[in-house]
Amino acid sequence: MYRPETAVNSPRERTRRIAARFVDSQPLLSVERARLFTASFKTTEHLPLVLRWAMAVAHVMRHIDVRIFPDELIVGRGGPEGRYGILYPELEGAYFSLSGTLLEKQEGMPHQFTSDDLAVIRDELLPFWAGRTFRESLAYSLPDDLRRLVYKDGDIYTPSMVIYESATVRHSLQWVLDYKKVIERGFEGLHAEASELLRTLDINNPRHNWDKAPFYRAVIVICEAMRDFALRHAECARTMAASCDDPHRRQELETIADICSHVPWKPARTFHEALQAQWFTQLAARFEQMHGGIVGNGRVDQYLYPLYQKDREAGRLNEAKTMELLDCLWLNMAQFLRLQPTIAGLQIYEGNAHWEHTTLGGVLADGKDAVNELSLLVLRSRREMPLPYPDVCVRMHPDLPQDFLEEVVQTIKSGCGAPKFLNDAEIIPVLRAKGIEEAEARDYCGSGCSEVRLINRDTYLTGTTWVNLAAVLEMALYNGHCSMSTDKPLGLTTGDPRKFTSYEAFEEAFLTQLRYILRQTLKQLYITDTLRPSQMAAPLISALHDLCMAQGRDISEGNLENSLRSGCQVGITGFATVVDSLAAIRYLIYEQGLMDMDRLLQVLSRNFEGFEVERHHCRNAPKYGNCIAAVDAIGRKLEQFMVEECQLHVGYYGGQPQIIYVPVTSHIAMGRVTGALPNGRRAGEALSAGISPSPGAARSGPTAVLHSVAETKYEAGTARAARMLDIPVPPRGVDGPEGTRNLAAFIRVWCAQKHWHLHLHMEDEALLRTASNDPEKFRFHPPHLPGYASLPNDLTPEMIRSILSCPQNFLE
Amino acid sequence: MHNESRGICFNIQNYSVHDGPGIRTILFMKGCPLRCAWCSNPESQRFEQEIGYSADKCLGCGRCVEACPNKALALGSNGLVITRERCSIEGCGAACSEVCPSKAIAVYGFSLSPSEALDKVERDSAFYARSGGGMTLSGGEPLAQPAFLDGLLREAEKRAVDVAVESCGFSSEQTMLEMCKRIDYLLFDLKHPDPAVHERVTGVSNEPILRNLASIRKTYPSLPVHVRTPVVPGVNDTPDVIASMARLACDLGATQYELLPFHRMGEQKYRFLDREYQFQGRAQLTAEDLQPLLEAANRYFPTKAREEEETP
Repeated sequence: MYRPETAVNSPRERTRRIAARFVDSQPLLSVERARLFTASFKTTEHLPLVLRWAMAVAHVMRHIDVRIFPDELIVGRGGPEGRYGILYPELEGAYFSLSGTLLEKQEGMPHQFTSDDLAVIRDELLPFWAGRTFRESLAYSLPDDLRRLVYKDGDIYTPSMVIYESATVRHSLQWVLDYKKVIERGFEGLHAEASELLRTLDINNPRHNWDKAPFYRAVIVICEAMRDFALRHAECARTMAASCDDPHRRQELETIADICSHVPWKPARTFHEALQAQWFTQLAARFEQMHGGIVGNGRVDQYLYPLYQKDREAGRLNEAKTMELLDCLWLNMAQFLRLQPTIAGLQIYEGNAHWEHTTLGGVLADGKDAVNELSLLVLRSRREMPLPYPDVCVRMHPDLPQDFLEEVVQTIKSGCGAPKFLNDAEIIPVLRAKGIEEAEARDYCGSGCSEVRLINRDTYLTGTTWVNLAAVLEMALYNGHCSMSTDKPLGLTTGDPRKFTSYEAFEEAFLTQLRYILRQTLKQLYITDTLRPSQMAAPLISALHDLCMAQGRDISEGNLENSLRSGCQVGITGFATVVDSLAAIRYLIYEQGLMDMDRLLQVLSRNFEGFEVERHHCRNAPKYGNCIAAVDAIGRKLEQFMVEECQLHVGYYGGQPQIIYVPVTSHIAMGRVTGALPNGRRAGEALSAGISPSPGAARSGPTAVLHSVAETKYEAGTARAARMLDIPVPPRGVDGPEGTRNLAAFIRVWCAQKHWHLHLHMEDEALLRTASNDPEKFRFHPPHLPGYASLPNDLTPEMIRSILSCPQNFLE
Repeated sequence: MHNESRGICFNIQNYSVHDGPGIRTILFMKGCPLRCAWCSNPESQRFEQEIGYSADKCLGCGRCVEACPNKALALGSNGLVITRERCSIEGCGAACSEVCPSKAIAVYGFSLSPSEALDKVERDSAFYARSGGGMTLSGGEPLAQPAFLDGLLREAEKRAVDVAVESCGFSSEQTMLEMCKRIDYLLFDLKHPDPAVHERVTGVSNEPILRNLASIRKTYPSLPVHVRTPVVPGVNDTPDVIASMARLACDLGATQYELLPFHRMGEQKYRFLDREYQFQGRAQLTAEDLQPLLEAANRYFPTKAREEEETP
């Protein structure tokens, strides 16, 4: 059932108290990190970039306000009390030099600045960063034809949403840190390693020469900063304990002080220490960079398990305490929001979308199932969490134990929106095909929305560029133009489609436009790749990466030896929208003769106003997601075309570009700039998301969706990766224990069909109400009832009202 | 080669989870010897194809009127007026539905062969295998198309698809037993214990139905027989009536007994078919209404009562 976010329910009192303090707070975009980072950066222009970055992050950690709030057991934050975001001026900071951008409360922005913040931005940040930001750097490096595709009317802060680059709204694509290393070796261990490597640099060894010195120095700086940051918290806790009247809290503060004087510098000795070390590390990673979708948690049930087990055996830890500590960690994450200061970033992360990807399950290095007691506790903590944190993902594989899978299904059925699934049966073979050893491939973790990482092998970090596939279709319909852009044509001249005499001719025009746009996209990504090494550094991420440490190079340099040869990520948005539109063109014009191209263009140009009959023809044409062979074949051909096109190219760092279907919220923003389309979608409406069918288009049940999606995958292609799939579960479709088993069986088939990702969401009452108000965008699936046949005619509005008047009869 | 008699169906529904074990595909067969007033699938009753019309979706474009060779359609002030006596779908191939842009006119009923049916059903066999599911034949009344039914069961056997049948139980004993030989699960309806009342509300007496049930149990003692009663207000919604049916089911060896609360989901379909719905505006059953009835049923089927959701 629908739970408003402000209802702070949790079986644990501490969780309720902490959550209640911030759930309703207005998020603040903190300028502290920006101010301190800049203050350091200004003074280090004579040094190599990686060292400058390390010194700047260290400066932040030595001077940022350190406070501990009531009830906290895991301490440390990157901004003021309540919900906060961090401003990264090096990305888009020059935006504030434009007039109107520094208003205290800007239209459409989810956050606000205090007058002190405004002074910092105006007097300290802008004078330094204007002219130096990554966004400006990229904009000035793009050739004119590409600039026109990327920016709207030449304004580099307003994306065109035809090709959307995200490399400059964040530092990295998405990333997961090697927390295991921190827990097992501590930063002291990394410090010692870097010191030894620095000491042994040899002017006669070309593989280990003095060009690496700045990197190892940077690692040493970062490790010491980690130690000092924790010690500042220890001191704070000790001072607070001394003046604390409540003996219970005093004891807690003393424990915190002890823990922070130990980790993350030394290896963690307890589960509590491991969690604190994990949090300090990822908090520091947030000081260092903005990660796409927020830095991930990795395989928590694996790297936290040894200390969990040790503490349980020693009787130091019970289940209740474990749950409380996990909650404290998630609550810290929930207070950080990925706030974006510009419209460019906002559009891709609407509603503060966040993916602190937390991976459970999967297999061990030997291929055996990896689920343990802690996997279950993490799952339970997600179910009991009053907020949608953390983002939990289960790595599914054929031998995942049934009882664990049923627990997972129960969690999904609770309506908390989690977990989602990644599929070992698909992902491990894809990694193997890219040259990864079996044991290593088995250790992948989820990252970002539905992508994966091998955290000591991957190095590619340039943000995805999204392609508005629907805009490309418009280029074929309007001979190079996009309907909502009055400018010169954005695409190629492929001819007036009214003169085409076959569907094949239209398809050819579309693929010609698509090839052009894909190549422009790859060009933009290549140029971005060339700029990153001189614009970005990530000494903390690099210190925790085997390859970077061994080779003495920052991860931002991109082309490390022995790294996973994956190249840039080309995000395809509007896949189903375009497949449906192509299917409609073929069906309506060339097969059924229900209208000609001239009529279709007329109808689309009027956004269907006054053409109700034609719009219904468009809407009722065959759609992807219903297991219709002819439609699915269009999707398959499209996917193969894009994958093969990417396979012709090699990126700047030597990797192959990859096609991914991970929309984040680009399908909404891209829909806004796209006119009416032949599938019946009106101008401005959202495009389809990921590899999922268009909203409301899948009418043959969830099994048909799986068949269609499987059908479109180009199995033999190598230039492919994540495919985000979202499937709604119809009301009453998963009733009772048998419903749980059925949904588990459904997931097992999804696994066997080798899909990449799956998110199942319950169609709860709130969703049904939305559906009844907007039946075209949200299809109201008839409830499953015994013996009842749902009809080709949809439920009438009256029937929907009747169901909603008595929802308990139909909903769980 | 065995008989490939074609049959008439009106729907094929994937991922069905309330009509037999596991994930199932329901093949809804058209035509039923009973006429239950509360029937939620009125389009299932006649054996012929028919058209349904949804005024809510009609654009009033009049294309169907022009397309109809039988002059059975006219546009009135409240949408389409159908003269059903003149409508003959076999003759015209449902031209009205073909031309309807908004799909306001739907054809109920399509013909298919057993192997065509199983081709569609078999697509989801991976789901059946992992959930213990399969195909459910429903209706209408599957037993009312015995030749087609026989073909379906043989084809399912050949392809190793598990079969459940949902039946009102009204047929000759021979047809019933012939079917039960080839199925894995039987869902059997009991609507009222009293023959006279049964005849009044369904159009037929329950005597052959009860005879069939007894005979199935005797002939196929290991076939799971899941007896269900649609709880209909004013017809059988008293604890006494329910208790006596539960006892009947128990005495006749049912493996499970389930109450299906009345709902009005079928109401709009009567309108689509220009038929009168006798339960117009009747309140749906609430959990409180149902409670005493569940208790009555539980006296005979204590462990088979509606399974409770596990608490998280």
